[in-house]
Amino acid sequence: MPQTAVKPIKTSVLIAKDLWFRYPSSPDWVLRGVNLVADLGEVVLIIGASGSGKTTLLRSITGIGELIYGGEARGTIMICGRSLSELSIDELRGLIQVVNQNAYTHFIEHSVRADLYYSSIAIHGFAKGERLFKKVVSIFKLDDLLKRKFFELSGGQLRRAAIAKAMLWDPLVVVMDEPLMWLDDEGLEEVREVIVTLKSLGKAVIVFEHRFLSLLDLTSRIYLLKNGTLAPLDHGQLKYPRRAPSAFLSNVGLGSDREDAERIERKETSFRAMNVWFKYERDNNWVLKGVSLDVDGLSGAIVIYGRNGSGKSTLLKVLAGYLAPMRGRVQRSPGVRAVYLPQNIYLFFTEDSLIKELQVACSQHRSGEDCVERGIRNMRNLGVNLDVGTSPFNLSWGQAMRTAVSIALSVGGKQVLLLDEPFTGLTYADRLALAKLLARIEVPKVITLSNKETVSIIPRARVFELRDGYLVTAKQEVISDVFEAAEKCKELGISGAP
Amino acid sequence: MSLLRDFAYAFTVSEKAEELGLAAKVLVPALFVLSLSLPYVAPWFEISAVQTLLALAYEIAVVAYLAGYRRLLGMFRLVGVIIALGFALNLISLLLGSDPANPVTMAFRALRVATIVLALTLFFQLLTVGEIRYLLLKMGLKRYSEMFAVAMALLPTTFISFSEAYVVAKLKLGKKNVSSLIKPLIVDSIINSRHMAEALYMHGLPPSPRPRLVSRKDPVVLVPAILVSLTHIVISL
Repeated sequence: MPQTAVKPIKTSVLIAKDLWFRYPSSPDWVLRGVNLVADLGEVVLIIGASGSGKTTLLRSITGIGELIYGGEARGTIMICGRSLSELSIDELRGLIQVVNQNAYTHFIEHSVRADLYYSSIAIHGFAKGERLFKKVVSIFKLDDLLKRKFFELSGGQLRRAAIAKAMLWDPLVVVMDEPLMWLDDEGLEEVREVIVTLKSLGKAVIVFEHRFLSLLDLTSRIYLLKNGTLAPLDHGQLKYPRRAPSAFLSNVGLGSDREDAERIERKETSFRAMNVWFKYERDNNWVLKGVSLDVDGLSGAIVIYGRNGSGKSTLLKVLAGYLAPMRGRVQRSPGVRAVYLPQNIYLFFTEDSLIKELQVACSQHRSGEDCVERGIRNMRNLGVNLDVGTSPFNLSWGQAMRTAVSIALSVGGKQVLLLDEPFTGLTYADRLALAKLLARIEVPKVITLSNKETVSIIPRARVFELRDGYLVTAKQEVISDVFEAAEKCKELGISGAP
Repeated sequence: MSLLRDFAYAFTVSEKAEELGLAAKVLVPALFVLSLSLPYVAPWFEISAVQTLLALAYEIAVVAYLAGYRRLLGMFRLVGVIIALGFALNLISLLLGSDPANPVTMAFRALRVATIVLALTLFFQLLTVGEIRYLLLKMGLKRYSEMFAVAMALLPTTFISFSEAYVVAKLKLGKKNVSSLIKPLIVDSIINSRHMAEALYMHGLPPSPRPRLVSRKDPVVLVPAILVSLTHIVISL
């Protein structure tokens, strides 16, 4: 169990040698001779494009791939000098723990306290279990969260509680699958803090993460997963030598120079929110307080930045007409339709195949005979070159987002795109590609974002911050590291974008 | 949608329930469910509207104590929906040619069903997932205890996904085609279940520790519950 900070010893606790893995559904190997080493007291970062096999690697080193997914594994995995196949399940749990991408799934009891406390008692018995529970609560600063239900926590708090639960086993290796996914800037800091704690406790931490910039200073080893193999990377390979941000911005064609500014053409206002106040039933707190916003035909986008739980999704639903304001009103120009793309983009799709998605969307809006053809052309133009019989649920995150936009655009007519955190789960290169693609679409857009990194890549954005229910104008910060990382990702092939 | 949220919250345990022992947590709802259900197994056994109202009032007091007045309002809505459903079923029976009960009897029966449903939700508001698992294990239902634990753990995330899928389907396809949300919801549930299986593999589903059987605070809830349920049985006899 976590002791006070221990001095890291250079001992390799996890060694994977020539690891191969494939799923029963396919004859192709996803992993093709992976070699991986993790030492005590170090943070190992593994990056790779969507679909490169990061989650498969995670499943392989814990045995989940074979036991739950029925896959075939070859090669050697040694944990603390013992082969994975020799370890009993309890021995394995005591040596390595995983924190899933979906941290909700770590909890059985609804109350955080009950879940952690009963788990600790069940693992270690009453006396030791109670002692360890208290220690974990203190190390991970969970006192304020114990009385809450796990599904009421913010993203960062949820990750912190899930990591604390993993630490009840006192493992030597902690593996985290995309721990920063869905997190706002504050949640990111919380997870960073937890990683620093784990490192100081002498644990080996393996992090699979797209959004790696904020973790680079904590990592001692970086690997790139590509074509089924792991290649070590230097920190320098992910960052350019420092240059002036403006020069960099103009290099990637996203500068907000005068020419761009002149190109912006104001058209009629599509939606106008006027002094909108909103709160949920039986909730004392106002989510939106006097929000006013004009959504017009700018070729740029309106970006609503805010912390998780600040009310960004609520604002989109009010604009879309799904939620009615308590005070104030939302005026929509005649014939303008709101297209809402949710955070979990897979929930957008309701049909078995891409062609059926198009047919349903076209018939729903009576968009004429050429609507489906137009939709297919849109998909091709936006880089979705898949068979139209493909199930939308099999698409990668980036493909799913581009497909949803294509379908929305194919029905024609006046519309406003309302995108709720569309960049989540994408690599830096894919984020930049999607940002450029959205900029090309001449449709008013409102995009919600919870991290400043991503706000900085939206071309010609009008940025607002939603804070304590108030919508205030904000400045778009230039974070050149993101552009650098995007270019580096593209060079290294960490991108699924066309 | 908020009705559904109320429904979901009716199945989450209250923090205050920790003050009670296992026996009281089981007995309080069980007394009401059993006593109010008697007329269904023994038709000659009558329960008056006043007695049902008394039981309902006590259940409401327990919910208010456990979960606060905000959740109580949600419970009232649920009770209202059940009464409305009871009326609707009786009206359907009228349309189908059956001999319907008079409106007062209909209202009373619906109220009794609502009181029973509220008592059933009390099980979930009083007992933690671990305690219900413990009871099922004691009954020799190991497999069901595991299935129950997983189902209860997935309930909140399923509700969150349902809520989002509902919004998307309504905005994308209109109110008439909102049932299309089933497909993405099933896919999402499968993905969540896989993640849950992975998490269970790493954490295990350890046997629930033996809960505390009795607590000093038990009489505070148990004695009135016995009095209320026994009173209406005695009066009925």
